[in-house]
Amino acid sequence: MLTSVIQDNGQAFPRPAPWPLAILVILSLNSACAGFHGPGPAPVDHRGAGPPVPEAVATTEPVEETGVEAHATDRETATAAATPTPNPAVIALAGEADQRLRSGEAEGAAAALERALRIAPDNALLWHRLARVRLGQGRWEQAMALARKSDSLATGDPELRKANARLIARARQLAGGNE
Amino acid sequence: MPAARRRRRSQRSGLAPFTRRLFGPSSIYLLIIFLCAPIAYIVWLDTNLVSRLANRQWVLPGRLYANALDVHPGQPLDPAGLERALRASGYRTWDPPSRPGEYRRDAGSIEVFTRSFDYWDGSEPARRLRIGFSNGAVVRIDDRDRGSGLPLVRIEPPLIGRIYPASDEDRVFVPYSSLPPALADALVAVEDQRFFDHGGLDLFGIARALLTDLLRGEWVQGGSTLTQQLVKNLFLSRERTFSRKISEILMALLLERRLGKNQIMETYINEVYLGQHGQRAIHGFGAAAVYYFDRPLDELGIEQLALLAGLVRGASHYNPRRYPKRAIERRNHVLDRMVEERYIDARAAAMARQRPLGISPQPGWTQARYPAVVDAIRRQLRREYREDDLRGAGLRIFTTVDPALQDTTSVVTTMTIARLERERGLPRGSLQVAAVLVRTSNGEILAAAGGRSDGTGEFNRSLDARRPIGSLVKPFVFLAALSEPARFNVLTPLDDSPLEIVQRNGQAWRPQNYDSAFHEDVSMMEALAHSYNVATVRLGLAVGLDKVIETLVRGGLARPLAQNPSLLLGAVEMSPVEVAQLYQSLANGGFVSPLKGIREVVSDRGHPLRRHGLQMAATFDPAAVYLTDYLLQRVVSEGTARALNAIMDEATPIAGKTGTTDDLRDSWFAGYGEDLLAVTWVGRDDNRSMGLTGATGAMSVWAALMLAARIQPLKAHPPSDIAFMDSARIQYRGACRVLESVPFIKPHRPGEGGGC
Repeated sequence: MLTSVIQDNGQAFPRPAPWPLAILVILSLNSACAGFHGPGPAPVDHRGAGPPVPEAVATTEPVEETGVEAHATDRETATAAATPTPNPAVIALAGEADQRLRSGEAEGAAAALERALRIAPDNALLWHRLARVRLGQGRWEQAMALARKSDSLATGDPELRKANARLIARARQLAGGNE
Repeated sequence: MPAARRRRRSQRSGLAPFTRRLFGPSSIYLLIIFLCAPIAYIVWLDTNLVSRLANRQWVLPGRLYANALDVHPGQPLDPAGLERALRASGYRTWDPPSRPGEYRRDAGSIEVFTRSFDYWDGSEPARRLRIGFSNGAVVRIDDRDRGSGLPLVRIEPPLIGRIYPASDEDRVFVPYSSLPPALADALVAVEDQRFFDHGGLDLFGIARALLTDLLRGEWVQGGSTLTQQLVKNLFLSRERTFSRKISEILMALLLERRLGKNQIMETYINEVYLGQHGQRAIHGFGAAAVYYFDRPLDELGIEQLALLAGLVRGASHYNPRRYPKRAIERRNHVLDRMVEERYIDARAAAMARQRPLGISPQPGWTQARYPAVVDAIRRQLRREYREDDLRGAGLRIFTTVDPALQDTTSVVTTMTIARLERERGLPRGSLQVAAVLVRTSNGEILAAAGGRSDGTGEFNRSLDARRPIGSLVKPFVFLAALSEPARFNVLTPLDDSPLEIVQRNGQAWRPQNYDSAFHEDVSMMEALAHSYNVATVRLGLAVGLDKVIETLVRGGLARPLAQNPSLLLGAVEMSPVEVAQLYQSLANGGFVSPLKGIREVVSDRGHPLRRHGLQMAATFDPAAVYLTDYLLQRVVSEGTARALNAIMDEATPIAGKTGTTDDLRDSWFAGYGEDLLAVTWVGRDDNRSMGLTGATGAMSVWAALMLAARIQPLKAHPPSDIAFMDSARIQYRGACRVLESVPFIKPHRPGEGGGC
């Protein structure tokens, strides 16, 4: 490692003769005796070093669930269009969430939905979608809580309430199976 | 020690010719005598250098960013609000906006050239936008280059603080790759012309400096290379001794061996001392750009970069805020040197000379601007991460802080208690204040105040001042009751007649009402609206103390509570943040989200480390919470907080609760509108009586805060098992009264009457 540093420096920055020679000798001694820890950025793996990442739950598990929910998507897009004030930002973010889900970025989808919920916190459909993302990630407790939150806001939408009920039942079933 | 070093130095001067006879057998002892001491010294220096460099490079602080403003059509935001947000992120007016970081405000619209920014979930490109407003809301966002409308844009978040900076130093790290070339040119031109050619020492420069010294007959420092300056800045004391000079030369040579020119330049630009602001030393060009120009380094013009390069020679002597004439001369000298070294042509230099210094009126801030909320975030980080993961890794931490709300909070809390002191004839500076603002739908902490912003001290009352919460506990007594709909509804009559409880210690406890009167039959609604103590104690005992405690614990109070009836009147100490956690569940329909200040943590290389996603628990029955919320709206519309009605007018309905403790020591208010909750506290640090009730003290702060924050009225979201009575006749404050649309949990319809 040291040799390469010296070579790099030597090539790029030729210097006057007497000093470098003496110092080269000294540095070799030093490196041989003490071992050299280069001052450059040490390789630190933050993922390994950090606390457990709760989001890193396998997203592969309930493939079947995604298939079931795929039917719901069309209908619910229609519901979204029927809401009295369709906010273009919310629609754009929901679209981004779908796109991220398709490319396997569940956590990115959740982030987009949470961003949309900051704009429209009383949008029952957004809460339901977030519940679905969590279900797909295997986070049953979150999925159930979010579906209940959706349900508390979905009084006038029987279809969405049925979808929430199904999601809660499914999450409970899967959670029970895992215990 | 200096004498010893001098001796070694004289030994070393004979080293080069001596090495040729090094391998002769008789020279072995001589070798030991002549070589060992200097070698040992240099090895020691080198080891020292390596370890200190390693430490140094890893003290990069983590950067805390505020919430990035999402701008979208339909958003309630006026041009002034957007302008404030842009300025908080370091945007400047420029006509027309031609570079990222510039904007122009017109009548009814703002044209802005945004900066590109790497978020947790990807990059937002730099764009030229035109944002149109009408009636206090955004109506259109146009991409000027593409000529199309946009549904949503993010304005990059302002930096609000750092974690683990060296105690009183301030840095904005600039990697070599984003060093403006003109700055490197200016530095080399004015400080070290042969920087990229020499090996740490500039012999020609030293010779010239010596000659000048000889001619002048005095010892002037000069001929130092950037490498030597860096060594001086990093490792050596300020004294000017011969032995220190020797160490400096040796370490400069060693440093050149250890690091490439680019790394030396990078370390230099981030380490060099460039100014002083009170206790705070400004190190590095990134921090200096913010300090002097209130702009990031890469947005500075050539004349501004030349000035910064000129400050290296003497930051206090050329201080542009104090000595603008000197600073201009110095800047122009640097520009001249750049022409002489052929980095710029004479015409560009002449143009740059014409420009003013361009110093910002106020020093830009790079240090923690919002102590209370940054403190809360630091604690969350310490709770959830290992210290080693945070230290020096240059993390980027995206927080939930709303900069506009936080600015409002700092100003309004302090102004309001100063006004209260004036109006009530209280000693100036005697009152203290704390506030926490939370987004109710996800538990994000938007702003916090830990004390008067004009005061001193680090005590963060929003987190650390635990005070009895008084009547703020009552909604949870009522929630516990309303969770049993077969027994309790909002009109259930309660007994408010005199009560005596014999406690475990044998002493009798006789709770009193605040108005010192007792009331016969009162409804649940009247009891909470007017905060009757005796009725609440009876209600709590009827429900069961254990049930009330369970409600508080499920609501997020993370501490065990003793089963003492005085708990029912708030004889439990909590910090404003703990109270905010409890009320979040009420404001969010029974769904608890743990309060948080951090959204994402990203490594210095843009790799997402961890996302603190939305967490939610379905804790309380939404219908029972709906009824509690209905009661808390009555507190505001006709109860102890009815003064709010006149003040808040357009923002109603809102829900809230006053809290006052014995002898008027603590004044509390907790209240919420749509998706925004605030808890405020006013009191004295010495815990003496200050003569303010919840309604006169903390509620004034709350109202001023929420008006400035433009709190939105609560929207009604009755859960499906809630039904309404069209009208109900009740006894209310000693008279008959008809209430309209009274909610109840199906099928438990309240009985009417009460002798009416």
